[in-house]
Amino acid sequence: MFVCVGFAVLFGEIQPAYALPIYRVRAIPAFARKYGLPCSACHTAWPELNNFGQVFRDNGYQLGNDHDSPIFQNPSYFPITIRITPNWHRESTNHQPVDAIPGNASSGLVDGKVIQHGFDLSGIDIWAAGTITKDISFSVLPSSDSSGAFHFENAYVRFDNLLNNHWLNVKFGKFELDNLISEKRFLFLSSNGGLYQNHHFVPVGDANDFGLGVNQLGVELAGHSDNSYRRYGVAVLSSNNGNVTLPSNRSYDTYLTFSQAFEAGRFGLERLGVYAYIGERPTFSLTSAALSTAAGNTIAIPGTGSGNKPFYRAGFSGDLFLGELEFLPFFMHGQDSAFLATSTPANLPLPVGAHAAAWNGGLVETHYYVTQQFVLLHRYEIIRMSQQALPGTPAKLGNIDGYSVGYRWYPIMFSRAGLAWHNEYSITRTQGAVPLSLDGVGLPPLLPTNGVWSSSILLGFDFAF
Amino acid sequence: MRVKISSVAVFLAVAFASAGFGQSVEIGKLEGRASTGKVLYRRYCIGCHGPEGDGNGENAAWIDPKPRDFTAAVFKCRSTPTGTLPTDQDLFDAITRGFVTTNMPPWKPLTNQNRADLVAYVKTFSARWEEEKPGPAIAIPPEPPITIAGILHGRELFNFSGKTTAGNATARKDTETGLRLRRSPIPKTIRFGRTTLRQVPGSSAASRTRISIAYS
Repeated sequence: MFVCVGFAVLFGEIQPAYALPIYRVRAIPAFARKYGLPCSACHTAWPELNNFGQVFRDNGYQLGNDHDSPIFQNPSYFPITIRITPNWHRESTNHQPVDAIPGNASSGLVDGKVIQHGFDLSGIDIWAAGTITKDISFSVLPSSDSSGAFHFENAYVRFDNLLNNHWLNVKFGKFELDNLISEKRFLFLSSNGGLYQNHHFVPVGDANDFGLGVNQLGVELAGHSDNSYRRYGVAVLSSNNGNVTLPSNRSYDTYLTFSQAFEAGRFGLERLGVYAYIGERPTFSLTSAALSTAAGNTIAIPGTGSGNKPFYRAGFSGDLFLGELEFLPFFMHGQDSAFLATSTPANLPLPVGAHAAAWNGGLVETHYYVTQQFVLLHRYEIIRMSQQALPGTPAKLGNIDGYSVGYRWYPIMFSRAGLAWHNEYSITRTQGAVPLSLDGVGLPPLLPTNGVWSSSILLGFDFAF
Repeated sequence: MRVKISSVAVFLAVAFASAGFGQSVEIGKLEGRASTGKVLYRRYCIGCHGPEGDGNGENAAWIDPKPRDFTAAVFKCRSTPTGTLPTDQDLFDAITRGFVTTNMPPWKPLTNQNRADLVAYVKTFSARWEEEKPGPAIAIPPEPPITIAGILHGRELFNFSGKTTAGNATARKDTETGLRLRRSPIPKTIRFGRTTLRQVPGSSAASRTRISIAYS
């Protein structure tokens, strides 16, 4: 029990409900204003980048003309981007343990369904990015959740084209892990659909906090060919999952990525890539009786994680076009050490029969661009446990199926600002656990054999200025 | 029933022909189609060149030099004599490379097919493309050997052009078309690089002179 308590204190209580630090952004109308280009020049449908936008980003927010200069500003140029989505949404989650008599905690728990709906706000992004001088770029993005609690979603400086070479660029700070399938630039907004399950999944009971979709702190060496058809990245990252103030660990992870694009005639540009994240997380930490709570629980000293145990995520992704039809396939294999998967400190023996947890996941996302101002969306996502950490654990515990469908209409897509009408339906089924969801609501079902269905409907005006 | 189908077919044929959608170009092994190019034009080009291709896009008011007016079918950068139409390859290269010191970025990140389609669509804005052929390619002599005399001549040319145009976008009249064209401050660009902030490594006196010789 002490072990569990200590471990829980170290990592924060193992939450039954996921409070995911997921913040979507990422379109920068300030650049449209700066360069006099419509949103569609850089985005297939904002915020997703097309290759022109990718090259611009890879070149350190430089197009290669006069406007790159940080002192080149016309009077209409406002360098800050703001994005927020006023919306109406409905959330529904079944198999939830609720009081038999509302308000009576002693009435016993029964299996119930929770439905919420109403008008709401998304978080807000207030973003500045650009060049400090030639070949030195930056990005600073204070971002809030819908309650207005801010954090730094990214903040970095990037030294571009070192030795006058596209293949040598160094980024330092907090930034997104480079991947073809970017959660920061995708087109889904609802509580269930507004995240890639694969990018945040960990098995039930696992202490690992890593998420591929979470911006990380570290340094990245990246490079690309002249037109960004070939790209690579190598990053060394703190094992803190992007959290500041060194909250848990003092080791380092590695992220590797490579992609290659090729032209397929009238089909368009096809891109395939591979990636791998190799990391470790602590299983216990230095403690001090001086920091003990009144209840006698010892408190971990931040940033002193020890007993590191490994994990990895690896897979491939793609961005394939058939004319106006875009396919985004993604595959991931994940594995967490038995110590992480069973939340066991490394200085204690593992539970009998424990071994590493492993799973496979993937998704296929489809976009159909009716025009550059109207796009149809679809996504199917799946995660399957291939090996549970503990014997006796139901084989399907934690499995996820997700389905999302929607559309985005951009009635305003100028070179100054953009407005999209967004309508989306998303549904997720998670076996024996609360679905990963942005709504912060949900508890594990009473029975681990129950599949929890969680659905979202969202209608909103997504605007960026 | 057959009459109805025929009528529709004729109507569509006329509609497409009048809109120039039937137009295609061949650039190397690529066949550019105006119908596809229209979609791309609306995505990438419309902000500056405007929906009618007349250079009056929403950004035109803030841009100097102004965006090219495709309805006039007059282009500065071409491999053909003044007064003639450029080749398709010229337009393709212009889109690919963009123009330093203007708002036109290099569109090389677009696929070759995309750029060929854009060339086909750009040519639908003027009837000149239906009525005229591109001019013959200008013969470009091989680069002259670097000699002291050549360098001195280049310096002379450079100093002359620098005094007359550096830092000033001057307007002149195209003698054959009668249209007013704007001249870009090329010498300034050569000396100060694209950001006009600092000297670029390649802007030594010798290289400047070589460039001047090339311009001569």
